[in-house]
Amino acid sequence: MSVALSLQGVHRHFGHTLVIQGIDLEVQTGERVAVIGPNGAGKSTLFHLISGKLKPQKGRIELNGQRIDGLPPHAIHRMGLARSFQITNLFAAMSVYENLRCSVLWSLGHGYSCWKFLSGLKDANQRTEALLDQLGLGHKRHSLAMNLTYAEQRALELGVTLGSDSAVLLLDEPTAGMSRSETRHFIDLIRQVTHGKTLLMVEHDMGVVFELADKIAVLAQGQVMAFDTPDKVRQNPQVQSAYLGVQAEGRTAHA
Amino acid sequence: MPRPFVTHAQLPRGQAKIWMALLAAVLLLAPWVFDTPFAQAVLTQVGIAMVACLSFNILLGQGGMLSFGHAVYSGLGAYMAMHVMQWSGSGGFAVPISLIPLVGGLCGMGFAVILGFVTTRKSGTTLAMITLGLAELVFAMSLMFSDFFGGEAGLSGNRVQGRPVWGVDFKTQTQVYFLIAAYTWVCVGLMYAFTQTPLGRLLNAVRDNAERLSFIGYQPQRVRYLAFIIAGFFAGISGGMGVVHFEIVTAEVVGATRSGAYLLFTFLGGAGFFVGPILGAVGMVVSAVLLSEWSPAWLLYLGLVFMGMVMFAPGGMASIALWHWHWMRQAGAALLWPWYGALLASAAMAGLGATSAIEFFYHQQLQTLGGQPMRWLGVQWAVHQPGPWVAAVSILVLGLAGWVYCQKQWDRVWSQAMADTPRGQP
Repeated sequence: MSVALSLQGVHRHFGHTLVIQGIDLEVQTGERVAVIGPNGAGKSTLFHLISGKLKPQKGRIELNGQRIDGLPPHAIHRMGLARSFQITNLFAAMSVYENLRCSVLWSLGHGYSCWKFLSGLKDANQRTEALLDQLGLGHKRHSLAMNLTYAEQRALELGVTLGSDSAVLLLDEPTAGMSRSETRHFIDLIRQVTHGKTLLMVEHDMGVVFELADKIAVLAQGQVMAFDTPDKVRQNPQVQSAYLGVQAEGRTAHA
Repeated sequence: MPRPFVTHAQLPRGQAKIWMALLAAVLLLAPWVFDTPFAQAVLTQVGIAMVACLSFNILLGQGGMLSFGHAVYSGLGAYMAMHVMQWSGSGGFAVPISLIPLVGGLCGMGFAVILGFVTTRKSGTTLAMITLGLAELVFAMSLMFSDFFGGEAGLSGNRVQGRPVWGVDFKTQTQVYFLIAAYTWVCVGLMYAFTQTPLGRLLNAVRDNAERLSFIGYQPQRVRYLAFIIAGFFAGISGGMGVVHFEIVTAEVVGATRSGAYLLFTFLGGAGFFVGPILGAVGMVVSAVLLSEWSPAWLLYLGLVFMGMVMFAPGGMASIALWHWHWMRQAGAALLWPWYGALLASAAMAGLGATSAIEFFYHQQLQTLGGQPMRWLGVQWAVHQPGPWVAAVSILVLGLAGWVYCQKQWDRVWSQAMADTPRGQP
């Protein structure tokens, strides 16, 4: 198995606030990794560092063996990494269909062209239709992104991330703010569409985490406290006392 | 998710061809309906303004780029086109007059390549400030380098040169009109086609959310830059069209007033719609040529209309038209016709009152110079007495009150009609 994503000694501070303090992480190709941790642990910052929204001040990040830290987001995306956002981040005044079609253009090699019509791009339109079907947004294709319900916006957010068919996906709290039943449905969808891909996902719902993830990375105060299979993480005394114990019991009682 | 402009309405497939055919018909028939040289000159200017405003809307409506200096590209294109026309006329390399607009376009594009690179690095306020700075810079230069810009007097040339080609020598306004109309039609078509290409759609994406665009593989700066170059090309064409029509170029073509007019009328027409700038361009020429003849207060009226539009109908004339289209097709719309008529009457009344007061005021201010009696609506008014003023203000107040009352009634009837009809209407 090869390493899809590797972080070595990654640091990031904002002024005097240390947010990421030396993170080492190695994700194998095809693995599904859940990133958990309390608020302020640095989960979103970690995703920003990997995807190029922020640059690390120290350390090294590699995607399939190629160094990506310090590169701009579009360059990292072109190397095969796509991400979603915790706060829905769409093209608000464009239709569902156009949102998705924009997301497939680069990977299909259409670049910045202004000498061909969108309606004539067979590959792009087919891929967009396929995405619409997958996401179950077919009946909303003409709706503007800003007029969708919250759950639909989250689905579209996922769709725009999937558009390029990237091999490595970062999903930042894809189910944030969803109801219990919406979450169930959505996790099934994520499982389906990320089949065979390398997945890094921030998630708060422990039920989801233990069900979906091959491995769990526990973040606390900008460091990786544990990175192992779900069972081993569950048994890790440090994790139990610091974070997971109380919540895991709570969930069991709930179930 | 707040949005500054009303959404981009996409034409259903195939409709674009119908609209283009309609535009062709209008362009062909207009000079027969308005057949005086003056009317044809006005029509020619409308064509020029359409191309200019549409090119501006590539930036504003389609790309979310607020430019205060679009006249730089139409204006510099015009200067270069004028130089080429002069060289051509004075025995240099002969360039057909029909290609002069294209020369302007290529030059506008060239300047957009140079200046646009700096302009489009950032978006939003930064971009607006840079366009403003560049506009001032170019305008200042136009008065400094009189060899190129011709100083205060500007440059003039002659479009009638060489032998006629197929009997066309551009001596008559009709011939000029048809050249401009042809350019207008082709440019409108090309600019519409642009909105249907990958780059055109990415430009909408960069307007809505530049950050997200960079996470799906595109450089927002590159998208803005390429669009800016294309906008510069069409702006330059409009500048070149102006050269053929006016045969003179002065510093005002690169001035802030011209840039402001592009912005104002594109917005008035409706920046969120492709057709918006076309409507705006008609308004631009009508107000500059006709309204300015009719009243010395025309700029004040323009300002008031603009403010009203910003506050009450930010989607411009196009959105108002679309709104009409929607409610007329609703079930129960017939119930509203009387109230619609009443609203129109109230608006007309308020407008009459307001314009009367403004005209009286202007007359009194200017009277110190002339001293002619006030004529308004074909009647003489004694504006030094309170009578006309009281009448004007009363009509204004009555009109406004009528408007408020009718609007309430409208809402009442409308919600009733909505409650009575089954749901699921489009």
